[in-house]
Amino acid sequence: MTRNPRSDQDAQDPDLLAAEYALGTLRGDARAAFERDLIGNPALRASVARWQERLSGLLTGVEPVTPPTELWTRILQTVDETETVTPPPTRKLSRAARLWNAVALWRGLSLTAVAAACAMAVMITRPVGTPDPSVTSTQQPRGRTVIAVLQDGGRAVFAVQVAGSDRGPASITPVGGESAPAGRSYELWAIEGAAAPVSLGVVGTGVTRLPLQHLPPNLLRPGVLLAISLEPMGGSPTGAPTGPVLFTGTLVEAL
Amino acid sequence: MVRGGPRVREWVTAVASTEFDTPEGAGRASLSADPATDDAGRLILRCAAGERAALHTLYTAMAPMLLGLAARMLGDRRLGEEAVQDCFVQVWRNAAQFDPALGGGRSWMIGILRFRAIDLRESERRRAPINPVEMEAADQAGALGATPPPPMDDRMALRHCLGQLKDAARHSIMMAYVEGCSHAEIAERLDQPLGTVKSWILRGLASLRECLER
Repeated sequence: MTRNPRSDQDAQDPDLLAAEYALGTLRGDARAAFERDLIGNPALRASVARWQERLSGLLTGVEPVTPPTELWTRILQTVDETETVTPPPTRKLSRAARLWNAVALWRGLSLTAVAAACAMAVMITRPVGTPDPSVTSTQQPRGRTVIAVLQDGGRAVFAVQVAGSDRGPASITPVGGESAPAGRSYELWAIEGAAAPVSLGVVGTGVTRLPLQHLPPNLLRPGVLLAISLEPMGGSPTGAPTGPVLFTGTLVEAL
Repeated sequence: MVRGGPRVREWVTAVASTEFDTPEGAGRASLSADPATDDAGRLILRCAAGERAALHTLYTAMAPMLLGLAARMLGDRRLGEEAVQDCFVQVWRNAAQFDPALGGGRSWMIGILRFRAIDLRESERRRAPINPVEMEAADQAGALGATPPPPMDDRMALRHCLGQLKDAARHSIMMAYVEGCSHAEIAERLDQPLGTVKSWILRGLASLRECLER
């Protein structure tokens, strides 16, 4: 049974506008205007996603077509082209940074992320030519602050700072307003060498302060990797990461 | 020595590994569309972490259906391949914007493909011929496709609600969604006034919503 909707009301219903957008019948200026409205309107984005989910069921009758093998090659080439390495600033990389570069290249990680992270880490920590504490030290020097810039493919997303002198809380500052999607949480982990990741806590919106008293001493020192994973709301229920790693960075000594 | 690179990669693989991380698994290409697991969504999030292997698994599972849809919307296989290529590149670049709380990975990718195909369609002014027999098959909304369809209850609900629509509304909506036709194109093909077609589609969508939300 279908009721008769009042067409004026329907035409102004934002959810039906979202339906038309998902259907593909919103074109030209109307489409552009709607896409502008989507920015900063999570309810509208949710409407679009709901309609896309519903309408996708209409495709069950579509016949699949086997793609030619070159299609994947072309996709991979285009993906690689967008991530060509821009050479890091011409300065001597620390020995640790060069080692990291070599290992990451071997493993096929995004070169831009590695180069940018190394360059940034070096830029933050020490001028060219000074000894590299991350290679030789086994303890966090007293009074020294360590920091990390957590990256997403070369884009700085979070800055983490751990004050050295009195083991105060770590602060995590988002760069550019990144926050976890609705219903999820970002959780920060410290990974030391081959050990299992240790949770530092859940990252909130804005600047987050995480108390560190419960952590092993000397966990947070130069060379330790920090990573943020996507977890259920409130963090991992298991005490180990359950979701994908989104951002990583290495702790380095701040000057 | 800093060993962040390989450590992170091993960890991501260990945490998120599923049956289709192996070459054998990839060949099975059976992504579950069940919202409870949303395999495609998890793969997209791994793409956001920079895992090319995840993009390849998505490709193996989704490309044939997406190419079938794109070729149909564009009436041309070569253009269809271009749309699919652009789609996967966009999926890779925008993977971090995928929000699993909003919906499944499969429909997110289909949305990207369809918008690209519509844009190509408009710029190339291609038209896909309408095959009335195909329209009937599409109307069934229950035929086997290349990727697993939505869970049975969603499929039954959509099929039922589609069936409740008047023929004109149902056909207009199908032409728009499966063929990528604009209001004007539908009006031309059905030989109806533009306003009439717009009204059919709007009322049809409203009826679908009311039926599906029941």
